[in-house]
Amino acid sequence: MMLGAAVLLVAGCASDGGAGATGSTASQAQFLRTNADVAVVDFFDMYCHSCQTAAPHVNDLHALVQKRGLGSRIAFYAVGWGNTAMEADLYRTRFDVPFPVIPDRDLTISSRYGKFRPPLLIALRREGGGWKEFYRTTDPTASPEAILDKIRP
Amino acid sequence: MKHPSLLIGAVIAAMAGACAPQPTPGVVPRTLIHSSGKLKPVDSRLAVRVGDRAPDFTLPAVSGKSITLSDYRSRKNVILTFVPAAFTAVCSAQWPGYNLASDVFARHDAVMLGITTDNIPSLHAWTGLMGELEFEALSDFWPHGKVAESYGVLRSDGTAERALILIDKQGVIRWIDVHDINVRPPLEELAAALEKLPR
Repeated sequence: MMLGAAVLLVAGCASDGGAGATGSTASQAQFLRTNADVAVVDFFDMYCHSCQTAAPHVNDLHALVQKRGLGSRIAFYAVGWGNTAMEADLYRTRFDVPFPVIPDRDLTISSRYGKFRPPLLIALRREGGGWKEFYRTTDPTASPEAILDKIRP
Repeated sequence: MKHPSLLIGAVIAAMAGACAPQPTPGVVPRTLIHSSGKLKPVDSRLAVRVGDRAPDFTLPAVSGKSITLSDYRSRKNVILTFVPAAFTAVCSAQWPGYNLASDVFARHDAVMLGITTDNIPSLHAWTGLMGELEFEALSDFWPHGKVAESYGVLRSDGTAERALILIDKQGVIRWIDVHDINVRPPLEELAAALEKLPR
C-alpha cells in the first residue's frame, strides 16, 4: 500500500519548478521543464544529515527569490540522490520543501553533473537550446543573499 | 616563567587549536569516514527465521540506558537495524535517514533499535557527529557480537551485517532483510513489511 502510494505520488504530482510551484514529489520527466531563465538544483540524500541540515537554508533561498520578485525567472528543483520515491517524499514532507522534489534512485539525473555526494547545490542557465551549469556549492547553508547574488539572471 | 619556550609553545598550540577546522554539528566530516571498499555482500549465516521467537538481549545504549528487547513485548513492534561499523560510508548515510521515517514507524506502533559491534565510546563519537538520532543506538561490543551472532548476522571480521529485522509485539520475527553490505536498503521494503504486521 505504501509502495502504491509512493508510485501514485510520482505519477500524479508533477509540477513546474518556476513561479507558483508548490512542493510535490515529481517525476524525472518534469526536471528542467520550466520557462525560467535559471534553474537551481538542490541535490540531497534523505539519509545524509548534512543534507537535512541544509534543507531549511535552501527553502530560505527559495523564499528570498520569491520575495525579490524573481520567482518566474528562477526555478527550483530538489533531486534525491540515490533516493526512492518514498525516501524523497519523506524528505519533502519533513522539511516542507516548497518546490518539486524528484527521486533519483539510479542517479539518472545526478550523474549528468559529475561524481559527487550531496549536499550539492548548482545553478543552470539556458544556453544553446539546453542548460549550462554556472554555479556550484557544496555548502547550501551559506547566506541566501550571497548565493542569490551569484545566481541572479 | 622559567621556560619562556614553554609559554611560546602553549600560545602556538592554543592558536593552532583555535584555527583548526571545527566539525559542523550533525555532520560526520568526510575525512573521518573510512572507505571499506567493495565487501563480500553477505558473510554470515542466519540463525533465525521468520516465525521464530526473537532471541532476547540486553545491551548498553549510547544514551546510557540499558535496553532489553523483551521490555517491548506486548507494547511495541521493534525494528532492529544492524549496521557494520561506526565511521563507515554507507552506515553514516543510513541511520540519519531513519529520523525522517519516524512518523512511518510510529504509525505502525514500531520503535527502532540500532545495533553495531562497536564499543560505546566509538558509538558515542560517531552518533554525536551524525546529530540527534531519534532511536537508541546499542553496543554489541562485549561479549563481542554476541547478539549479532544469536541472530546469525555476525560477519567473520567481527562486524555486523547490514540487516533489518522486524519483530512483532509478541516477540516473533516477521521480516528479515540481510542486505548486501555495500548497499543501503530502500525504505519501501521496510515500510511494506510494517504494513503486513498484524493490527
